[in-house]
Amino acid sequence: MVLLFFAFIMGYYLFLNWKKGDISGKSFSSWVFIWLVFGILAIFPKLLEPLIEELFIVRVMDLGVIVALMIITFLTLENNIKIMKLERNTEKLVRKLAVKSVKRKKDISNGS
Amino acid sequence: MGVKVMVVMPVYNEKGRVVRVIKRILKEYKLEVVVVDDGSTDDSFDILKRNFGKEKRVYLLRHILNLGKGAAMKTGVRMVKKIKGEAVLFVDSDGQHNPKQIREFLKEIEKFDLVFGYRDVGNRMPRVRRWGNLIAKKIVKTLFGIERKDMLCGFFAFKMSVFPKIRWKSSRYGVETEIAVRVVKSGLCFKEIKVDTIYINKYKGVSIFDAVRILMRLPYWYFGIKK
Repeated sequence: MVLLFFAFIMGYYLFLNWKKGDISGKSFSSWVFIWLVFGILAIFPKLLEPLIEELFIVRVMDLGVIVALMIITFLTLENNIKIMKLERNTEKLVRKLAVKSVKRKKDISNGS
Repeated sequence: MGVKVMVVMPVYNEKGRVVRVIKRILKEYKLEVVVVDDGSTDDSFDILKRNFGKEKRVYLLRHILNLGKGAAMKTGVRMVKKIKGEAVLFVDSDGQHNPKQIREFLKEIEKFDLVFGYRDVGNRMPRVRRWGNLIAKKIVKTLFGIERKDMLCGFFAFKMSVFPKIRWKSSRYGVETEIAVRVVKSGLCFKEIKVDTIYINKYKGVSIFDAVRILMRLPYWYFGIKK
């Protein structure tokens, strides 16, 4: 029940962000698909039993924790890379503006 | 004087002291000063403009966002390159560095590519910083074989010709440590000169959290910076 409630809240959160235009339709459908799968697996955990036997995992819950950790690690890495890229670009832009403003000021003071 | 040295001064919320520091430099030396306001939230930049807006020897630059000391230093170097300076001397804007000692840097930069200041890591340095400095020195010495008397002193100079070899990526306080690593990995010769230990505000500068961030960057510098 807790998992289903969480999936529902996440779905609603995505819907709001999609409506506000913060995420694209493609991104919205991908995330909704992920949360739907999550909800289905929460209702029918037995669906995963053949897989957990194959992977020598004792409980479905353990598989859930492993997959969740993998997803969190991936997302953290991806966010980190994006933030670094954004920081680099911001730095370049801010520097360019700073140096450019001095050029203009000196030109004015020289009367050119 | 052979080498055309320019002072680069990163500024962040230093309206109380920066004007005095710049005036002293202009009075005592014939140097040009590149001031980079790193998106101060107080009226530092307005005060700078009021005092030095028409001063030919002062270049006032402003970051529209706060990027950090390392980024402001890099902007200063970019400006120095543009106005054909041959060497850069970094001086803090809060009065931590004694302008009298600039003379020694000007003398030594004639002979060396890089000149680093070092503070007496004695009783005058706050205890947390003293220990932080010692631990950083030990770790960096073990990892990189760097023998430096003060790893975190921001009072230093280098010739523009060595900038491509030491071009740093740290935008915040890791910059001095990163430069130290790059200097050693590039095999550049440097000179260290003793400078005064002046602490104006113990809450500014490198905090314990910045030190942890610097330590976390060490593996990247160890493996990522090529010789």
